[in-house]
Amino acid sequence: MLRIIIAALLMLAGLFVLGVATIGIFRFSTMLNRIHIAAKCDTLGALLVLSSLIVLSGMTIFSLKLLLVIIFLWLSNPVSSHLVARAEVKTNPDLNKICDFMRFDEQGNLIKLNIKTDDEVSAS
Amino acid sequence: MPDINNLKNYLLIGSAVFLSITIFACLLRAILGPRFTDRIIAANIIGTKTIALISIMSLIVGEDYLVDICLIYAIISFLSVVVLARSVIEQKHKSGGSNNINNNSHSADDLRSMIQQIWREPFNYIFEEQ
Repeated sequence: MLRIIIAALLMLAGLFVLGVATIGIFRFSTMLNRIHIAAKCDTLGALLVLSSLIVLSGMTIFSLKLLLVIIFLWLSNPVSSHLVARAEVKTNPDLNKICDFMRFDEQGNLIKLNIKTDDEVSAS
Repeated sequence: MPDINNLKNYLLIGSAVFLSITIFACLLRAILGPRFTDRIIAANIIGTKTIALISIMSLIVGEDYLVDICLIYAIISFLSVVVLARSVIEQKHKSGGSNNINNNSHSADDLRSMIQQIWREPFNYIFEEQ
């Protein structure tokens, strides 16, 4: 009985994270914010839901495979979100309106520092 | 005190229904998204939620070996995101900073020409900027 209570708590927390993340995907206006939401919801939501299934089924090979899935998801999600953010930054022509950025040449020297002051931000 | 097996079944079936509703919402974002990176991350999220859904279903049915599908699906969804993102970066790198994809694509006004464009040039439809 205690096992089902713990599994239910973990599962409800995981579903809460996933539900709030799907609302958040629609509410944010910038692309980079949405990448942030996707990375958070995937790792935390999958961890909570899959660990509730581990608690529910005890010490079997099923739990070991689910643990492997959790470890692989935690290793691969940061890499994929970084790649998607890089692809978005390279192909977006309207990046000036969203954030400030600096430009470097190939050796790492600073060419151009493009940070908006407070007057420019309030004027735009 | 209700039956223990009934409680476990209600929990698993209810969470499976809720997960499938959130999968539909993410599919909406894949259709509506103004940029193509929206579609890439929507595919990634749908893949992760499908992994959770398959694990829950394998406990409902009672067959333990169906969780091997989740392991392979995690690898495949990660690979698909990496291939899509890297192809765009390499294409941008080769064309030297300017975007040459839009030279041959025609923007579609009505639904019929949009479907024709998707059927004939799927790559241009996915990657065109609006």
